[in-house]
Amino acid sequence: MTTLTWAVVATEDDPARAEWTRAAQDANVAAPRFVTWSAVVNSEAEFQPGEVVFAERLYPCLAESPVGGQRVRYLELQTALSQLEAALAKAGAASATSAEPALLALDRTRCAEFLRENGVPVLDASDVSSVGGNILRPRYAGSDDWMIDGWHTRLFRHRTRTAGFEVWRGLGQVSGDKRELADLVALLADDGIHAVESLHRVHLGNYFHDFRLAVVGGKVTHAAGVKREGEFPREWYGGRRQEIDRFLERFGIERWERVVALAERTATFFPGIRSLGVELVMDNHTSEYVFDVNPFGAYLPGLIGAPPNAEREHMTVRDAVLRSLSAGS
Amino acid sequence: MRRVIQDFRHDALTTFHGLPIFSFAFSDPAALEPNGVPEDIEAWAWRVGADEYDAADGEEIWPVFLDTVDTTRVRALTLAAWDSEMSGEDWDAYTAAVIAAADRFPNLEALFVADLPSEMTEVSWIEQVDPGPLLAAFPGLVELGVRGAPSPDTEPLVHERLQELTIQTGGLPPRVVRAIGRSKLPALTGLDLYLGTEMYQGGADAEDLADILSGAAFPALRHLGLRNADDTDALAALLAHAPVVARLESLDLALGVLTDTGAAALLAGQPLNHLRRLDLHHHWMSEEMIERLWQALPETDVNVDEALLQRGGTRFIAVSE
Repeated sequence: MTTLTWAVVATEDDPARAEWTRAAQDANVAAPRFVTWSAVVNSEAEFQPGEVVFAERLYPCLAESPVGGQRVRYLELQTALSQLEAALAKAGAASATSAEPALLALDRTRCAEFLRENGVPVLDASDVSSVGGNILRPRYAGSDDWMIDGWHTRLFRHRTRTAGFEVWRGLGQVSGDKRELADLVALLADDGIHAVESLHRVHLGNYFHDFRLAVVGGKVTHAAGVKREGEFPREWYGGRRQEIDRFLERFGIERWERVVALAERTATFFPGIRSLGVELVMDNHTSEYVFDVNPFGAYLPGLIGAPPNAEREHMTVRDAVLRSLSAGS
Repeated sequence: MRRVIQDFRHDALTTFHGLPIFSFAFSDPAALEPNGVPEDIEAWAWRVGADEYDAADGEEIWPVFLDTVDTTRVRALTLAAWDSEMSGEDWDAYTAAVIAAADRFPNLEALFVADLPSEMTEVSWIEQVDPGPLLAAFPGLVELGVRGAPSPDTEPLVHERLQELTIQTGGLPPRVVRAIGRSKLPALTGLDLYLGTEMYQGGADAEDLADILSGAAFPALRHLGLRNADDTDALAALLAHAPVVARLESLDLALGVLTDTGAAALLAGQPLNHLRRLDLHHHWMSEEMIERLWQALPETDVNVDEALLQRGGTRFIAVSE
């Protein structure tokens, strides 16, 4: 077993804990030491010199629940990350989820402006009121997430006796009319909405796809297509990634290499993030855009595949992160 | 806690029997490399068959599934298409293949037939078969879901252990509704029927529903869903006096065209305060009627989402074609 002193800051019920524990076994490193966010926020957390510390979400994503509160949660995360960095600095420990780049990534509007200024392609900003003809997401991405993409959304207005209308997330796809979507947007507006122009996404097989890439130590280690119409509570990413094969078949390796290079270039703007998720959207011709940057790593649960030209071995994203770390890279 | 099959609108299931779906659409074992399928077989609901248009057919996928997955550990199974191009067809062939392999699924608890999105086939195009032989082949089943109207020749179902039955259609033939009412399902606690519209061979009336509404059909029933009906007001009036209601914990008239007329009839009938849940979402009730419902049923979780009255225009059920 490789000697590695590391810790994960996560809430008590965060499923990421189990994934980190399993990754440690797979990577043959010591089991993680878990620290609760509440201990950090209450200034009770202690770290060790040289310890590498990953941060997970202050509010883990919930599959079916009322949405909202992103702005408040972002501000809470801002405070918590600041306290974490202070504690790490005091102990001489190292952050694997540096606060400033993490907060930049999680403020979608600020992040898009920053990337645009640095020559990274992102979709043009859109007017929120153009709902139905654009893509809307919460400006602050630190907790639960949602998307209104064109006429499609998985949000609906749930009426309660006491609170009037709340926005809820359902598993079924809903196609709303303009007024229904506008009603949703009105309920969500206080939390901040990030609106971008729509894009006719790349069509592979029978579905429109985006691509999600994991960048570990500056290199793309994992990739998978994400069906735009699909949403699964738990995805399996084993086996061959057929959408990558289809992408290569249709566009060739040159475009794929451009996709990988764009993700790796994006990662250079987020130093101090050991495991970065980069989501790209692309059209059916030659254009790719950075759609999302996730400082908590690529959400690719159970991903074992790897992009073309990489060795196809059994390795999750977290496993790759730990191997990279223990190898000293 | 009762497991609820997701509302059907357009999509294939993403969860079933409380488990996330794993789509097994591999016709070539090599495509499963390098790591095969999830190790925690029991923790997934396995959707097997063609899940996109013009891809490998179920006829090629099913044997690969049997060869590569330890089916003795499968608890939940959903069937995608047998024919990837004409996915509403060949359900007799798929059903026969599943029945032939029944002894390889000793722990199967839940089965859903025709787990297909409307992109592949509209629900009314699905040429469904009598589910009776499937039930007979799996005596351990506790949950059965079927998308598409079963054949009008469907016979009453017989099963000792089945607890949940859901049939999702754009039009459920009245003869099938009668057959269900005459079924021998002593353990059945939950029944959801998407009754649909006459335009797609639906149109069950009071006589067709008599065995279900009398309470005689299913003595253990605790949830009744008469969903997606274009005569929801008439159903509400029937339920206002139906003996079955007294034993229910949950009543569901969602996805239909309930108006103030039906809701008023429901409130004027037998007491409903014992219901833990009354699901009416997708309706044409007024604000005043919603207030009346809430006041009359203070302890009941009344779902009045998708209020469509303000939309105007034609009234419609949620799932038809």
